[in-house]
Amino acid sequence: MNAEHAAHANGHGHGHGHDDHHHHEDNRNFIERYVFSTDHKVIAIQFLFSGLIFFLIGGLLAMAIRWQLAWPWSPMPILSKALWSSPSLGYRMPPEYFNKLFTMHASVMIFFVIIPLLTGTFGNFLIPLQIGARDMAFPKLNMYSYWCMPFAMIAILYSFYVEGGPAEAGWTSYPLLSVAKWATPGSLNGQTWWLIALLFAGVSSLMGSINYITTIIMLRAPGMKMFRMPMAVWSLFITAILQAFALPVLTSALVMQLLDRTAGTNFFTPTNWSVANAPSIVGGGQTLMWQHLFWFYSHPAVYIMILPGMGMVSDIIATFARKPLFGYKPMVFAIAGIAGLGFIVWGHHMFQSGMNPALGATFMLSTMMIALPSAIKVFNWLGTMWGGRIQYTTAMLNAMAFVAMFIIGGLSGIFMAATPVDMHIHDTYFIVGHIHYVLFGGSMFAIFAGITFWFPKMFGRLMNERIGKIHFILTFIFFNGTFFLMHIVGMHGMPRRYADYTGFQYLNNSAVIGMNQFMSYSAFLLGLTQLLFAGNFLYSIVAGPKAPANPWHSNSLEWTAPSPPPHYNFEVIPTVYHAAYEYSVPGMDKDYLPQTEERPPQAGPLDPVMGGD
Amino acid sequence: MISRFRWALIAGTVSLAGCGEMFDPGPLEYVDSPSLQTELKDKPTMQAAVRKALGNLFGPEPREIHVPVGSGLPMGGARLASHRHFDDGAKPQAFHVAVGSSTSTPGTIPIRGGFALYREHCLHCHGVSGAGDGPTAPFLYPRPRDYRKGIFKFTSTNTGQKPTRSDLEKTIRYGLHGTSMPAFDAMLTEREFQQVIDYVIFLSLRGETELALIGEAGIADEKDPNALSDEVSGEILRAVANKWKSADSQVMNPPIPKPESTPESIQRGKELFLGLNKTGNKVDCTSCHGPQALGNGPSFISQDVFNYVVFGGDPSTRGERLDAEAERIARKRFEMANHGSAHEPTADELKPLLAQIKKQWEDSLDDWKEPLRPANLNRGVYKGGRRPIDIYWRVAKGINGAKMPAHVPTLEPEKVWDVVNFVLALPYEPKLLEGATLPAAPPTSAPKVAQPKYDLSNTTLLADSPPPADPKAGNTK
Amino acid sequence: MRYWSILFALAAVFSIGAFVYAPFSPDWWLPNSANEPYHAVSKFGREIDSLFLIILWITGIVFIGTQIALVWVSWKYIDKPGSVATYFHGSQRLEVIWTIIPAAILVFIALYQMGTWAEIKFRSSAPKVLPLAEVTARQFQWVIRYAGPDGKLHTTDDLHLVNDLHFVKSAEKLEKPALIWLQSGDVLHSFFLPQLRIKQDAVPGLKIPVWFDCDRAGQYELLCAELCGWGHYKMRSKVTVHENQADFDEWMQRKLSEQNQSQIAAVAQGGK
Repeated sequence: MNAEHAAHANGHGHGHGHDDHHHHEDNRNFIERYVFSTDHKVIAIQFLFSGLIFFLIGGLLAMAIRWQLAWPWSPMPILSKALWSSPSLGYRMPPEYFNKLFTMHASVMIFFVIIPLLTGTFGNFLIPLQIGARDMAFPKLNMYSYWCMPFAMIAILYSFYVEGGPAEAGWTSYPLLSVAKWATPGSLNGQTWWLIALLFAGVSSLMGSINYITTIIMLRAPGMKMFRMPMAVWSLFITAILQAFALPVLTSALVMQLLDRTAGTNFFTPTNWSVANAPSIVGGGQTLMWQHLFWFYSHPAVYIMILPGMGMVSDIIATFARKPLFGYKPMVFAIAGIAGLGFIVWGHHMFQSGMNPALGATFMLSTMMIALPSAIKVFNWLGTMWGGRIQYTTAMLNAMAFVAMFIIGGLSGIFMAATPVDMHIHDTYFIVGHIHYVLFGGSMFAIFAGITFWFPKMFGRLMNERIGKIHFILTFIFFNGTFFLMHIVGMHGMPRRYADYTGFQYLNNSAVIGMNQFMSYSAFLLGLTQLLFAGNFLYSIVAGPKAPANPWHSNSLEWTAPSPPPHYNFEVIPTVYHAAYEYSVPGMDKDYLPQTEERPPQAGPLDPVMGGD
Repeated sequence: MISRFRWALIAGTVSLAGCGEMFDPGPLEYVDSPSLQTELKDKPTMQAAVRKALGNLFGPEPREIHVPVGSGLPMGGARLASHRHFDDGAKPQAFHVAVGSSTSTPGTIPIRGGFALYREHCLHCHGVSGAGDGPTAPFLYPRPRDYRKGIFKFTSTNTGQKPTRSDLEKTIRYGLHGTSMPAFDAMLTEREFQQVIDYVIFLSLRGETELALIGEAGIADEKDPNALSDEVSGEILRAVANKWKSADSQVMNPPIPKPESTPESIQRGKELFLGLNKTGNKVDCTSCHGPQALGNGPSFISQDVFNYVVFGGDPSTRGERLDAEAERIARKRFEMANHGSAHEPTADELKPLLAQIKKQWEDSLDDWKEPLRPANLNRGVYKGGRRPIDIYWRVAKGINGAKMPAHVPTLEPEKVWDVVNFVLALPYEPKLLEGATLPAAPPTSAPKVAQPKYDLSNTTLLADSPPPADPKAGNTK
Repeated sequence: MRYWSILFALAAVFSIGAFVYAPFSPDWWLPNSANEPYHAVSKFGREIDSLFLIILWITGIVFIGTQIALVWVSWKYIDKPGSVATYFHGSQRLEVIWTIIPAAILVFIALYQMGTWAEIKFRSSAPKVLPLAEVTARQFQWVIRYAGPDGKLHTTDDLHLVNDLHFVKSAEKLEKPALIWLQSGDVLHSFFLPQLRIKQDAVPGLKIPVWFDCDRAGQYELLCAELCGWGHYKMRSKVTVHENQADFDEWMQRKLSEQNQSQIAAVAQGGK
């Protein structure tokens, strides 16, 4: 790709009809264009659609979980008859089915919704557009990265139909419950399919991350120095590095568990061990090793699921506050700090696991430290809005909700980081509340914000703002209604993953049951509210108002391309003069300054630390 | 915010009050006994008659419970559910126990009732009809009990008799170690135990009556409209119920208390276990439990076959695994029998061998046609309880429905106690059975299959007669 | 539309309100015994509660501060005709301040917790007492093997019980926690005493010592906190704390005679 030549030939990038070898006849057929496409934008949209479909599946699973928690064992409308019509059962959910529900809810949401949406959709869509590249460094690898996902999707959906049903060892799949085939029905066959699904999803992510790293390092437009990249690209870059280093560990752990289950190896089974009356196994392995390997990936994975959101939200907040991002380089260093520390905190999931408690003490310190960069980011977002001129678009509201909810999720994390306090709240609803404040309150609001913000660029049309705002209000209210009280019931000691907590005296009271029912009502309404989003999304694709190239008056490079950008994105590779946050520059007619335009001299020199190079 | 909260709590409480069945999914169904189809294959009228008689006696569906006259359930079965209404006139003692919150039910009793408790705690393994066919059941070994045969394994009563209520309570309260039956000691209250026991007995009565009705219908004329009249079915029910009523009088009490567990007593118990007592082989423990009491005796299907068939794959394909394994062993045996001849066995040649092997497998099944595995006595895990009296009962009167036979009166009580002392000592003295072998002339209960001329220990997986052991080997300790 | 700030304010008020109300209801607050809902019954429990409260106060203040800031900016700095956003890129001084202060607080929290953690979990702090019992978690019950009269495990006088944990109340001055050995019979489980704030996973292949005390006699609950299969939620055990050693010994004798029962008559004699 001869970017420099192109840029040199036309520095301002307005040359229609300019003789450029990329501006060629698009003679791809339908399949090449929309199915097995190597165009990063099409791949992004493929990830978007599959992610949203799985968001629906995962959401329905969550509804079933909430039904059982509010009215334990009560037959469910519609579902009971469809799922448990066996006369021997009498419409009642068997307890292992509840375990399947939360296992699949978490697995689907994490591995098929949030990671693909954040890295798959936004990684693919934004990276080339925001750094001024025509496509990814390895377009075919990019295509393979998406087409790994259907195998994973088929495997995870097929697991619902195997004997014993889908996996039920939790999304963490701790051995021996997951390894011993007879430990619980879902471990008989479902777990194998779960492992296969995750292996494919992991390979997909790995291919994606290699691509992102290479693209960002190699294909930046002229003038796009590292410290001129938008925060979204920075966060996706660091996320990709996290994935590239952490995923191999998970992949090997998954392969080990798969071998334990199918080939008779004993990585995780102790010596001479028998579970559920099955024949005893020679063993010789270590159960805890899985937890170390799993969390060595999955703790960074938690940041994989939040960092892109942080990046996108930074861009959106700066755009709609019409103000430069507060502390650009500190924001980048904070993300890098989170990523770096992310590799040395995995043990905080294992404080009560039987790991040497001295290790717990060290992990506590590193875990406390990882709260620091998160805090810095929050202060910087507030600083960005401070003194701004805030435009309350749907994207901005969702981005602000991200900040507000991430504060709760971050602060509740400190409780778990403190080892003695974690003694009490570990594996209770406190952690369930925490993770949902980070993953729904954080990542999902960021995804809503990101979809609304970049929708015009993706589809060339605008989403309906009014419905978007109604969706936002309801989601925000019902989200808090669903998840905040989990901290309270968790503090009261309600354990997670319980099909029925009413057998315990300290939980069987009107307060705990009432709170659970309140959460369930909120959850059902939260679920219904998402129909507004689905409707708005689908309607706007077809019939939304046509979007201009830069509807939000934003600075980064994608807004210099038409909406939607053509194949190969830019007719001429743009040249970049500054970071993407030059809003409300004094002495200018317009309150934004695209990266392709030079800063006016009266704005003075840019602070190299706070404003970028 | 606070008011929103209170609203939620009130809404919650209201919905809780009406809870139990928040959403009515429609009627529930009892599952027919499989023998209704097999025994009455050509008698559709009789099939309908059985269903009708059963519905009259016990209620047409699980949520409408009829307590038949003469059921013997305590308090007339009132604890089966939380609502009841009496039949008018005709049947003085019978009443319906209805489940649910229908407003027309006049009598409401302030308990949850056996049905509700059973649905909550037991149903997913034992099934709506108590057939041991809940959704979790296929994945468990041993399989959950099917009450409908009226056979219960761990009882205090004489061989073949019904359990007492306290036997059932012990099973529910403390669970069955080494099985998937959990202990409900901390999950239910004293009253709730009684309610659940009532319901289990109700299901067992219903199931056994069903079997008896099928038997009656089997010998009756298809055209006879009165073959299963109310009188006949009532008679059948009372015969079944009387067995439950007499359980308490059938309790076996050891005539003497357990003697001190001395080394001598343990040694005597060991000799009995190994079949070495001088008065002749009256007991034969090793042929099932094996000389090291590992549960690998020769008259049982070998553990490899058992493990492959039971744990080697999906529960639904157990039959296929059995066929494959039988075929494999039959071929092996054929090769052994026709030593040196290289020709492939024909289907006709394999047939008798396969039949033998299938027979041997059948002989290892319990009364519910489920594969059995003799207990490993070294682990200190006792399914029927670890009290001396529990183990005495196991030895003295066997285990109903399983292959463990009764040993009283063959053995005198003192000798049973010796065996009990030995069994209780075994987990603490792992060397007790070191080097023990099978007795010289073992009386095997298994049918004799092709006598092996060679040591088949590495090749066959179905146990044949063991090789002759050194008669002195067992006496060394 | 500055009224959007009210939505964010409401969420904050709701969150704070829930935690403000929580201490006033025993069913919302940390679990304690029903008789004395605000007395944590164990020494570790009291320490953990105080650490919890410290973090709750710190995070509460930070939460209120950040939410006020968020609501304030979303109220004040809205897009209205004539308003101009200030053009600045940040302040190094502020960055340094809001790096150092949270860092100091976080390090303080971490170091402040270390002592309690070491006291509860480090093997070197295990009490020098004979073990009370060996607790084996299996699907789906707690199999408890008491050391019996001789105080030694794995002897013939051991008492075997299911889902029934008993120990003696700790005296005022004399701290004498109960010590158990925790192991698993099949898969992972977790030994969770909510009222005593104790949690420890039972790991296949490991034997882990756990010690705890309780200064109020009475009934408590033990549950499994690590997913262990279809009956995970069924793993409830009663926990009984006896007033004194004599009570405990009497209970143990009664249970032992039940365990040694060899005739029906003995039931009536031993009592139930």
